[in-house]
Amino acid sequence: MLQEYMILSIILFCIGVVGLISRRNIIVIYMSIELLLNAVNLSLVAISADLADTSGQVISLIIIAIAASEAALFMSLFVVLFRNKSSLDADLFDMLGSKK
Amino acid sequence: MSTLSILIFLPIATALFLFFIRINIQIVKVLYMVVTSIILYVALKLYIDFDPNAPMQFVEYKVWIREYGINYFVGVDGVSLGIVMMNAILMPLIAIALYKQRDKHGYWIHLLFVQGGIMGAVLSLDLMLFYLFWEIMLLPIFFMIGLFGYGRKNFITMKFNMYTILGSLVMLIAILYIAVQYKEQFGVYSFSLFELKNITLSSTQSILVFSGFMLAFAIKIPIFPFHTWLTETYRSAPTGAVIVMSALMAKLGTYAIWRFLFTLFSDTSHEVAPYFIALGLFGLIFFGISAMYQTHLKKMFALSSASHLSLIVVGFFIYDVYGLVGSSYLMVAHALSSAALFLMVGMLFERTKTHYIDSLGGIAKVAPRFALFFAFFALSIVGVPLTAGFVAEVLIILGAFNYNIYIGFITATTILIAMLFMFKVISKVLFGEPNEVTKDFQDLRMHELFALVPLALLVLAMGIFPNYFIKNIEPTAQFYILEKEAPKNDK
Amino acid sequence: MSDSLLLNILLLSPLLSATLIFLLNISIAGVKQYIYTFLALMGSGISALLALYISYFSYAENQVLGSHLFTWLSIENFIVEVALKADALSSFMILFIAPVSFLIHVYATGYMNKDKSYGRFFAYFNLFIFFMFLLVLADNPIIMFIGWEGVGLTSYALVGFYFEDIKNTYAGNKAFIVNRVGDFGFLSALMLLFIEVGSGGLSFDAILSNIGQIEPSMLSLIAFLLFVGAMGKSAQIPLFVWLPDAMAGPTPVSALIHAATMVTAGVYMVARFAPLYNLTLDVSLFIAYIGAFSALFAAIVATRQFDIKKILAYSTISQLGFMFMALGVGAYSTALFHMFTHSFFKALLFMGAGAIIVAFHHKQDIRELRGIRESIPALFVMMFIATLTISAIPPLSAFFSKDAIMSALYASGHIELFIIALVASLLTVFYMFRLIFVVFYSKVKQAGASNSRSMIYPMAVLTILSIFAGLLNVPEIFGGNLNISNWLNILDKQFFISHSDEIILMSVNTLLIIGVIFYTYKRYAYSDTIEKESEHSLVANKFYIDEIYSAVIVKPLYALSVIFDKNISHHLIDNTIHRLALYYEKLGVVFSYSENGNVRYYALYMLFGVVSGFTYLYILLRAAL
Repeated sequence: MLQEYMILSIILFCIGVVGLISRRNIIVIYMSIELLLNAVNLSLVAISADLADTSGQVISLIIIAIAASEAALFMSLFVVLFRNKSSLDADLFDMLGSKK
Repeated sequence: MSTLSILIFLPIATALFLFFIRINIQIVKVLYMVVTSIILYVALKLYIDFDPNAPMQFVEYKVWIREYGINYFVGVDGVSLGIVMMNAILMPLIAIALYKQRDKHGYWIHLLFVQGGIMGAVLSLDLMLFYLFWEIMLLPIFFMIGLFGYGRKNFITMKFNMYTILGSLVMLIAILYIAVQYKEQFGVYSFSLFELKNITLSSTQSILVFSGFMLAFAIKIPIFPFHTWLTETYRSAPTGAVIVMSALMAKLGTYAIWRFLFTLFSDTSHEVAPYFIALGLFGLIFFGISAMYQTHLKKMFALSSASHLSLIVVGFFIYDVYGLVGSSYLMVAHALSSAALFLMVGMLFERTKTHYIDSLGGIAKVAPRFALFFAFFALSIVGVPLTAGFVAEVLIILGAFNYNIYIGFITATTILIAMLFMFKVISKVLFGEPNEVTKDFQDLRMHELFALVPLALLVLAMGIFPNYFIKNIEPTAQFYILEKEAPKNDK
Repeated sequence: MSDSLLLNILLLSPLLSATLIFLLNISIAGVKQYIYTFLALMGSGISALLALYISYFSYAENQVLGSHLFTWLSIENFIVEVALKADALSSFMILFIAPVSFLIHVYATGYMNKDKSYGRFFAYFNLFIFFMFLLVLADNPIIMFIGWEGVGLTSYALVGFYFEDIKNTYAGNKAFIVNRVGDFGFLSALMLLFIEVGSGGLSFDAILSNIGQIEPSMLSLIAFLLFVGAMGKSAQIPLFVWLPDAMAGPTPVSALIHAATMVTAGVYMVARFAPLYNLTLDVSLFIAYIGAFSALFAAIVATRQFDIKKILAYSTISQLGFMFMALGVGAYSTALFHMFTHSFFKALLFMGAGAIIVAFHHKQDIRELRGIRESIPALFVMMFIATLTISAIPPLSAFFSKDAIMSALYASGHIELFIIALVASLLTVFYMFRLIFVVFYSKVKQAGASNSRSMIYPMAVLTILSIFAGLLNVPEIFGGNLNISNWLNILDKQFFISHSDEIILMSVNTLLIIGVIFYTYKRYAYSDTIEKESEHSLVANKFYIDEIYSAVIVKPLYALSVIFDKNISHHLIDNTIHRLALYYEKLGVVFSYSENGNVRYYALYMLFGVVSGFTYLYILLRAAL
């Protein structure tokens, strides 16, 4: 049973990674990050059930809580970013790079 | 706090204090004078209490980082005493001579900082501590050139710093390497000079580590071919920084050869000595001849310093008592003369706004005192009798002849080399009819005389009564000679 | 008064007066001139009196004075004591150095009268005497070397005394630099000497008693290097070039330093090391030949010079050549005696020239100084006597000294040296009388200012000394007993020459000299031959020696300097380093493409990193399992 859960988790993780790398919209990137987190959550819960150890579930609950607060932070960031460039295209926000 | 710690930390602490509070520049200058005078007083007491025959004195040992055997370990012997004294004497004199010219807080704070750094590097007997101070004394110079320099100062100070740090990093690797080797052989880490010298290294290892150290020292001195930062840096550096670099920091490089390389790698130093003698002699002639056609005073004196420093290196690597004593004496003698000369170049620039010897002339007519002192210090660089340089050069030449007659002849050319450019400078700057630039040249003012007279008297005293000063160096040199010969007797 | 105190006062009184004058001059403006005069004359006067006293006791009672001041250096075996010793040779040296210095000081007070640098001049002048005494009284060669360099230094300062004219400064530079080339040899020789025999002590006695231990080739090298020092200081070929230029200094300087005292230091040094040179006959012969060529060369050049001081300068080189010839064949005391008489008559000639220059508005060209006999009769008489002396007319002093050199050369068997010496001595007569006849015997007349008494009286004293100094060393052929030679007691080589031969030599020589004088009279007196002599001939241009030196030594050095600094330091090394830095920078440009600031790319890099990390971990685990 664990194997199926793990495969699902890996599939979710890969979707998240591809989304993170290939999509340009910042909201979609954020969603991909959430997907990554949830993939990890899923595997944590599954493993914890398998080992009959509750600590994995505790960690996943903490992660969900953090992700929720992160969501609030991200929403405000989206607003600030959109105000600056009237767009949420990630490629526009490359000020950390060596090129201007 | 004991003597040596006062010497090291009083200037640094004052500098930090002044850095964090912003007060009137006049108070900064007064504080600078007070601190450097205290240092001078402490150093003089040190000199008087110094016992020439004891090996390492005023030793202080405090555990710092126990796990890695890094300790606060300082001490003074006959060689370091010279640089400590020079450092203590020159710093207040710089202030006396320049206090009217420089009204920036940073100038004086950096000078204080560098004084502490140099004291620390000279006195430390722990390799980590030495490395720390070796880097610390670089920082103020970096800022001084960058903030108060002339010309392309930013580029030059970056180049100087990167060049020097490159050497220092290689040295750091060498230090860590021998510490690890020590751990493998004795089970504990140690960075103490006197414990590290007990380790046994294969000849390849010791040559590699030796080169690591030597690269740092060679860049700092500088030895040919690591000299290309020199002329431009001296040219753009402000007077205070030039004096510190030529009179103290460069000497520190040669001093470190003796203190660290000869202690740690006695045999290796002896093996590679011929190459360094050759390099030194080549540098002596190369820099001397290069200086001949320079028209920029500071560049010319930079090359002149380099030429003399090469001679010091030759004297050290000859490794007999005359060479060692002569070179240590030359370090002090040249520090005095070159500091005074750069100081006077600074005064010259303040008055005429030029550094080019072709646009100067006739100063002797309008400013006889300036001319007198300038000629005196220039001649003391040339090494005329009754100046300290003469004594040192005679000793080094004697050592060289003792080593090998051909080396002796080449070394003896030093009495010709410096003359080739120094007389050109003296005649072009001081003699002839005054021109537009120099006709209103103001003679030395009282405070400048106060700075130069002690230097001149010291140069004379060291030239006329050298035995009094050499007494302090000779036993240390003898000690090293004995160390060098000891393994031979065992075989 | 104790002996050592005497010597110390002798040495230190010029130093003290130099220091006092110097301090006064540098610190207070407008000090009255007579204060300087008083100090300068006190300094040199006290030492002159003491020198006479010491030499008298050395001569009469053969006593050796010594004084130990302090230890200069003491490192292992290298123990240098600042010790003075007035043995016969040193006493002999101070016997003429100190009084001549004093006389020239007196003369200089007149010559430099109302000069704005009066104080500075006498500070240097007294300092010079101090170094000269240090040179001749030093008990070991290192201290002697300090004096040796010191006189060179003061000579540098005095040659370039009128520094407003940069040419004078360059002449001073040239003097010091060429001298230092000689010092290079001297110092090297001293170092070798110390290494060979230094453990036995560094005093002259100790060294000279130990030189037997040195192997002959090394000994020759040392002897040669010592002589290189002498070449520089005593202006012998090839290091003579500085002396004619050194005439740029004030005339008292030329008289004291470049005629009577400093330039004779080389002779003194060779004589001091006489035991060494007696062992190295090859080097001695080399010295004799260098002396011979210098004597001849300088005499030839002097015949076509027009500057009154330059003529005398070449004459000095020539006379020094005579001394070295004598030293070379081993007749040390003869050479020293010639040096003794030479210092009187050459100083007199220079002072006369200086007096003429002052009286006639600083003209130095003999073609412009014609017909001045009537206005300065006293000067004329003294110059004439000095010229007769340098020509070695009996019974003037140089007759005894030069004739002794001639007979020593003849007796030594080196007949070629004798012939060169004879030719050089006849040329000496020619150019000296050319000077006299051109300047004093002319149809045109001109009047000049009169000289002060302080200039004339010292010259009168020197005239008397030039005439009678020879009596101190009358050879036995004239019923004398070679007092000075006996006093000096140097290991001279003994030459035997029969009295008849000697008389023939002397008379032939004298007849030839008189013949040359008549020829010169015919040629130059009351005629304008001098106007027709070209200034551009080979001889007048000193055989282009200066130009050759400049082309062979100075210019290549400058070229080398440019190559070293521009090509090697800058282009080769510095550019290599800059190139390295440049590649580093270019590498940075390449890497900066990956740092585009786009977060998604960073995530991609992270992915690569994680994937490769896991792959590595996987491989490791596989291997472990």
